[in-house]
Amino acid sequence: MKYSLSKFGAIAAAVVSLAVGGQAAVAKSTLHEVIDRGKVIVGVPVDSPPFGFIDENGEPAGFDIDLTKLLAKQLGVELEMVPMTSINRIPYLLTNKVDVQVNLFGATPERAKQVAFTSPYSGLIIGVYGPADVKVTSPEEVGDYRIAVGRGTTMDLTLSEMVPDDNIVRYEDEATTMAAVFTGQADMWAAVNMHVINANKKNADRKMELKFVMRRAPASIGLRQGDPDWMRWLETFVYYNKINGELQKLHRKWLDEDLQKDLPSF
Amino acid sequence: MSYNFNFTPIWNNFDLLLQGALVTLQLSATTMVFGLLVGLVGASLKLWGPRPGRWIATGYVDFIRNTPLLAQLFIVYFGLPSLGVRISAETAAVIGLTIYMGAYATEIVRAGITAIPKSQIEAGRCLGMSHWQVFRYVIVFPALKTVYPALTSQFVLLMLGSSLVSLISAKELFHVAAYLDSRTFLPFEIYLVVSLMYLAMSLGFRVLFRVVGHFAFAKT
Repeated sequence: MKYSLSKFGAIAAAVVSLAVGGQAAVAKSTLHEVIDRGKVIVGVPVDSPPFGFIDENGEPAGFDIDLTKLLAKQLGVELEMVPMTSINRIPYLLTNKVDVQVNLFGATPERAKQVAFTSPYSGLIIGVYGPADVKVTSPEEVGDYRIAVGRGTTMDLTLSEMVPDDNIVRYEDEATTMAAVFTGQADMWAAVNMHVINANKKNADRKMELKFVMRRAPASIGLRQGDPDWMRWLETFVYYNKINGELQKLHRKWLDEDLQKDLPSF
Repeated sequence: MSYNFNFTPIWNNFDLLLQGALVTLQLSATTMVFGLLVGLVGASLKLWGPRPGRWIATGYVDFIRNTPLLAQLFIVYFGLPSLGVRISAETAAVIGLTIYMGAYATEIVRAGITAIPKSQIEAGRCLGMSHWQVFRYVIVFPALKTVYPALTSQFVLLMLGSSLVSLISAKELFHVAAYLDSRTFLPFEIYLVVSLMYLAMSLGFRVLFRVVGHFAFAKT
């Protein structure tokens, strides 16, 4: 009995030590992996200007690219960027091909089942835009103004719930919608801010300004679940750069707008 | 392969479709009248106008008949505002379709006038008719009678072609159909119903034209 007990104890001790050892190996945070490796591998967008695109020199550029460079700098490690389309963001994280996604990644309950998200650092604005001489600040003030929108888009569906149908002019696609806006066939444009920023670069004489926000789609940094150290570091990174003005600088540089004051923190 | 037809959302929004059909009818009717007028002027210019007039008429007809209607509509809708003239989509549609219809009407009317024997015109003069009377009773009226079937076909084609103005956001039948499609995702049902509505309108126009033709050209 005594013998068997001690034998049981020995086995138990072995099992426990194995479990602890195994757990320690599994639970090594990506944070420390990155530091030990001396390099962080980040998934970035290259098809979503101004957040991520290929510039005239063939290099990735944009808001997310700059933020990624800042992240590597503040980690004190080298940077490897992995350009990818939005559909690959979750698979690349889950298969350990990247350490983190700075990739115009919107936190949704559906995605959060598979990956974790930090507090947002920026985001898309779906809004109604118009030239300076159109004085409108809310959906109630649209009056007789005509708002151009691509038929059946998210913008169309959102706008249809906010203003009377007579104010909405629907076009076949985004190109025709833009033509209507910039030739003056429509007074305002229901669009995503990133499209407006790009269009404004080409039409400097009829610049579109935000009149009112229809909906926001914040962008977060994405990482694998179950890694509190890495999550904490990334949260600190977002928080720190919100406070010290770096994020504000990036907003002015790439989005021509201020960092949202009411950007939520998780 | 099986498909469950679901027409309920279409019946629920049928008033929208009827409204769109009404706009299509108005658009077509207005354009027919203006287009025919342009055709009469164009044909006259081509046949009897001074040389520059003939050149202009020929250039107009050749340009319009050899370029896509959609391109013409976009030029009117997006081009005029660039020159500082702002017009609604419906006005742009009437202007664009009139220019289009006018070119075809010019050729059709010209064909009708050419088919009138010279002796018939001389006979009219011999009877002491004024220039205007000859033009009206001896030339235009018989000419229109001759080309009436061709003209009515062109009118029906115009009505069907008016679906293109949905692309410049004029709220006619096809625009309403595309709108419903973007909300219900039932393209099969919607375009089936809309096609039947176009068919009904075409047949309606043909009956109407036959009746009008019967009375208008009864005397001659």
